[in-house]
Amino acid sequence: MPNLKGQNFRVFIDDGEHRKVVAQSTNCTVNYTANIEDASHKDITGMAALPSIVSKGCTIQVDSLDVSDIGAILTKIKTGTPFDLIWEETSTTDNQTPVVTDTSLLPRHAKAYLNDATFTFNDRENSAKNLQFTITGAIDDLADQNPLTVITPSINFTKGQYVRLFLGYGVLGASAVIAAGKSLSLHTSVSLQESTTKDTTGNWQVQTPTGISYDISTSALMRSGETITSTVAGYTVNDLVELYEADEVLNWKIANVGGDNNRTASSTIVSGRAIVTSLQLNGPNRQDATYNATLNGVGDYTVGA
Amino acid sequence: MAQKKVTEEDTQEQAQGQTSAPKANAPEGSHSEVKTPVILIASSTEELNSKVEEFISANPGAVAGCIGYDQMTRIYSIRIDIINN
Repeated sequence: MPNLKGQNFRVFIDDGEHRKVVAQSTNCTVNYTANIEDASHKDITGMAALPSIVSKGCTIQVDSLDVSDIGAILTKIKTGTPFDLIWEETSTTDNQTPVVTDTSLLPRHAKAYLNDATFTFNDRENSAKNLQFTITGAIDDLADQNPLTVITPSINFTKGQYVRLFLGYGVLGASAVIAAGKSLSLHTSVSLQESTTKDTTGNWQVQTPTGISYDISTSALMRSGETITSTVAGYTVNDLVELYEADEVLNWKIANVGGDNNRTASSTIVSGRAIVTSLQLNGPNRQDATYNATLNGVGDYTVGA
Repeated sequence: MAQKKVTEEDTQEQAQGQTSAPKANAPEGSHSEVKTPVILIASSTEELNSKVEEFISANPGAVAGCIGYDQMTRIYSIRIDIINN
C-alpha cells in the first residue's frame, strides 16, 4: 500500500455554501490533544499515575502562498465567528477531491476559531499566510454538507515588494512608506476562553473568543536619510526612533503599491493605529546595517480604506 | 440585485490571460459578512490599480486583497471582497 503523501492530506474551509480547499497550501498540521488529570489515589498501591481525560481539543495549522483573501480573513476574525473546517484525504488526480474508501483517512469536520494568523510580505519573495485554528466543540464526520468547489490550480503569487507599510501621525494619516523595507508581517491573535459547563455534553473543549490583538513587524535597511528622490516620503530609522521616544500613536496602513520605487499606494488592504513597542538596530561588520521594528495595534483595525 | 459570483469558468478565463470586467454589484443585507469574491485582472499594476479604484468607489463595502502576478500568463490580478457592515 503506497504511503499517503502530504499533498493528499488537506484542509478545506466550508463557507456555508461551498467547501474549498485552502489554495496554494504548502503545509498543514492537525494536533489532537487531551488534557488529563491524575486520578491515582490511596487505594491503589505503587506510584504509577492513573491519568483520566478531562477534556479534548484540537488545533489545525495551515500554511499557504495565497494571500489574496487577506481582507476576507481579517474581516472574519473581527466578526468573532468560527470557521467550518474539514480535513481529509484527497485524490492524487487533483489533490482536492476527497477520497472516501474503506481504507482512506476518514474525513473530519469541526467549527474552529482562527486564533492566530500571520501574513508575510518579504521583498522579492512570494507572500504567505500561516493560519492556526482552534476547534470549538466536537469533531464530527459531517464533511460533505455543502458541495465541493474545485479550485483551478494557479501560480499567481503576491511578490512582497508590492505590499508595503505606510506610517504617519496626526493629520498626516499614513502617508510615508518604510524606506528601503525588506520584510513585513501582520500578525493577529484572538484570545480564547475555555467555556464548558455542566450543560456541555461530551468532553470536547468549547471556546469563546474574548479579545483580538495584532502586531506588525518590519525590517529595513538603516540609512542616514533618504537616498532616492520620490514624491512619496519615506520613513527612516531616525523617524521610528523619534516616534518611539515620543510614545507617539501612529497611523498605519498596509497597501498594494506600484509606480516608481514601488512607493505609490493604491488600494489599502488594512489600516489602523499602533505604537512602536520594539526597535532593534543591527550593525553587522561589512554588511548593511538594518533595523527591526514591531508595532502593536491600538484599537481595532479597518479592512480596506 | 444579487451579485454575480465568480465561477470556475471565470477563473479559467483569467488563467488564459483574458481581461475580465468587474462582476459584482453593491451587496445586500445589513449584517457583516463576506460575499463571494470578485477577481479583477490587468496586464499592468497601473491598469489594475485603476480598475480597483473604480470598482471600490462604485461598490460600497468592497475591500481589496493583495496584488498577485501570474508569471506564466503575465497577468496581474486582485481579489475584491464585498463586505456588508
